This record gives sequence, structure tokens and C-alpha cells, in this order.
Amino acid sequence: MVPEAEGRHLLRNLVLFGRVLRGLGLDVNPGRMIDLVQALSHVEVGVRSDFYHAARSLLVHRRDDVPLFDEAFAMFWQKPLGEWKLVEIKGRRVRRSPPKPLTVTPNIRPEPSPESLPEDAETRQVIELTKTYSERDALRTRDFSDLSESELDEVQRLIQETSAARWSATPGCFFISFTA
Amino acid sequence: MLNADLSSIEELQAQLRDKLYIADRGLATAIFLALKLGRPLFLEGEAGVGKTEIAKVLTELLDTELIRLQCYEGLDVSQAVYEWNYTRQMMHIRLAESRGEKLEEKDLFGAEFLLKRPLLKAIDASASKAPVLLIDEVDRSDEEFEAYLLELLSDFQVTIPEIGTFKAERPPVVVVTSNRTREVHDALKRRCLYFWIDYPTFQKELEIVRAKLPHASAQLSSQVTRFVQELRRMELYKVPGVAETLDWVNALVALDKEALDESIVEDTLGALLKYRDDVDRVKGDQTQAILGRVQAAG
Repeated sequence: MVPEAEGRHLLRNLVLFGRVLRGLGLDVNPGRMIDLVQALSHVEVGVRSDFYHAARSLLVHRRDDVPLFDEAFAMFWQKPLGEWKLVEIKGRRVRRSPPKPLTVTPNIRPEPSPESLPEDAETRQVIELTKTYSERDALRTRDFSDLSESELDEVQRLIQETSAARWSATPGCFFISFTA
Repeated sequence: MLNADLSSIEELQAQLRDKLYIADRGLATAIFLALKLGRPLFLEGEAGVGKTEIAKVLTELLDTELIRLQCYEGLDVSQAVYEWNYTRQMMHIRLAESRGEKLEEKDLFGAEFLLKRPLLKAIDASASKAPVLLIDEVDRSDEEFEAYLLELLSDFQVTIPEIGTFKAERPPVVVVTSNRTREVHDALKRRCLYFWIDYPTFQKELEIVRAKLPHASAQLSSQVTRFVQELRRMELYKVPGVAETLDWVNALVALDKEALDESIVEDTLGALLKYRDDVDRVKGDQTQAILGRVQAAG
């Protein structure tokens, strides 16, 4: 179970994630997001691979969309905010365009794909939520349930600061820009 | 009832394994959520990767009935949902005439004249336990039928004008499969939990072979699995699935083989490859080359 405050943050991030997917052209609607929230009460949200598979089985229903979902998932739930300066997803909105790596700022360490993660409970991973990411490494590697009241306030403050997430679409291009 | 007892994905995975179905974590998660949320499970993948098998194994786990609807082009409501038993109605009319009885329309459209087809059977309120409904190879059916399914899967009810509405008290556990010969409409898939089943990795396939055919020697199982994995990388008209791997091992065991050699591979390729062109392509040099790699790997 996720405590209420953390649950609200998670919900906020889920909704944003749904919007990212929709922006990329995936067929994600509010009904599916509600299903996902319900589904998360049945899986361990803290186990990254379970969270990934729950989200994928509910939000993706075309095989060709899986690579796109995987990239979005890896970026959204893992990359610290500082590395999200500008993401260009050119031509991604065109359905079933051939997979092409997203252009991101350099020096991003390759992350293990969720498929390759060990599955036992011992190796649980913390889900890092982009919007709640702080520049302090301390917050980066912490689970919500471990955060103190003041840290949660800090997270909340950061959300407000970074709520300037802008969406803009230009012909042929799609930008997601988070200003820190 | 398994639904209520099932507390975790690990538990489901273990139970599937007990029934000799090796499901990876992703598939187990999708099945688990389909059961918990009461949503249909939509499985896509090449032929022979074990899509239909899931419905069978779930039926065993839930200790219930399996109702199977095999889809084909031209499948219509009379084959999928219900049909009136015209012959019986006709006999009833004749009998009534010979006895000088008067018949009303409602006498001819009662439950006794109704032939229940798979979809109606699956939502039949008289069933004591929710069955497993397998809608197999939905990509073979027409779009009209898909639209009908969409309606059925949203509220699990069927209306028969002459009788009324049947509604499932206990909605069935629905498994829909598609070989993706055509893209099934998003609206239908959107109602379901979607999972793409890939060909298994070497390790997983070997595990399946060992679990299903424990009497085959370890060396034979490993060599056959490796051979099939190599074939899947080739350009073939019909790539062998897991079912073919198992058939081949079975055939080799029946011939008392404990390891692969060139002549036995060429003699038994038919268990693995179903098209003449594919067999011709693999025979000879290819067989030698693959066998060389397989034997080197042990």
C-alpha cells in the first residue's frame, strides 16, 4: 500500500505519464488510466518490473507500440529531471514509424531494460518519479515511504517549481520541455 | 476459488509451473491482473508460442469448464452465440397438428428450442462456476463479429428478441488470442489486458522441454532446443513454434535417440518444418552447419 501523500504524487505522475504516451500517439484514455490505478492496488508498486508490466499490459495494445512505450517508460520513470532539458521526439507521432533512439542530452548512463531486471523481491528497485526528482541524490534513490515530512514538502516544492512542463507540437516535431 | 486465494504474481507463476506452463514475469503479471480486474486477456504472438495453452492451463487452475470458440472467416451469430433448433420446432408443430392442438408462437421459442453456442454458454447464468472462455484466433473472424464481441465483452449479456436478456452472474474468464494475420481493432483490444508472447529464449524453451518431456535425455533436449532456436533466425516460410520443438523431441525419443546426428535430423525434419520449401532449405549444408554449432555447444 502507498501512503496517501505519496499516492497523490504517484497519481499525479501517472496522469502525466499517460499524457506523455498520448502525446506520442499511443491510444491511452482516462478509462485506461483508471484501470491502471486499480491494477496498481494488486501489484507491488515498488517492484519496478511489475509496475512496468502492469502499465504495459493496460496502456499498450499494439506490438509496434511496445518499443515506444519502453523508451517513454525508461525516460519518464528513471531519468532525473536535470537530464530532461529538452527532448525531441521527431516524427514519433506517426504511428508505426521505425524505432529510432530518442535524442537526449549526452552522458546518460544506459539503464537496464525492465525485462532484464532480476525478479526476486530482494532486488526491488525504487521507482523514481521524474516530476518528484530533486537534484539532491538523497531524494533520487529514496522510496516515497522512506521520505520524511520535510522531504515530502521539498518534493512538493519541486513539483511546483517544475510544473512549467510545456507541451508544444510543431509540424513534424514533438517537444517535451521541462524547465528546471 | 483461485481468484480469491491468489495473493501474488509469484504464486500464480508457481501454480502455472505446477501445471507445466512456464510463464515469464510479464505474462504472469498480465494474467494475474486479468483475473483480479475481471478483464479479458488478449494474447498476440506467432503460432505455437503457447497462447491457447494458457486458457487450458487456467481452466485447470480454476477447476472450471473451458468453452472454446474457434474463429474463422464468416463466423456469425448463429455459430457463435445461439441458433433456433428448426428441426425440433418443425417436429413440435407436426406433433401438435396431429394431436389437433393449437400452437402459439411463444410455444416454439422457448429455452428447449434454443441451441446455445459458445458465447451464450459462457454467460449462461445456470453455470455454477465462471467458465474460461477461449476466443481463439480472433484475427480470422470478420470485423462485424469483432464489433459483436466488443459489445459482449463490455457487459457480458446477450439479448435474444424472442426470450429476453441473458446476463452472466459470474462473468467468464476470457482469453482472446490472435496470430496477427491482420490487425484486430483497437476498440476490442482496449477492453483487454494485452500481452505479446514472443518465442521463448533458449533457457526458457529448454525449461519447457524438460518440464513437459522429462523422459528425454538432457543432451537431446538441449541440442534440439538449440537447433530450433537457430532455425528461428533463418528466413523460413513457417518458423517452428514451441509445439513443434516438443513434437520433434517426442519423435526422437520414440526413435530411442539420445543425441542429434545429421541423418536423424534430415529424416525427422518433417516434425519441425511443415513446408517442403523450408525442409529443402534446411537440408544439407544448413543442417550440417547448425548441427556443428549445436554439437560444439554441448
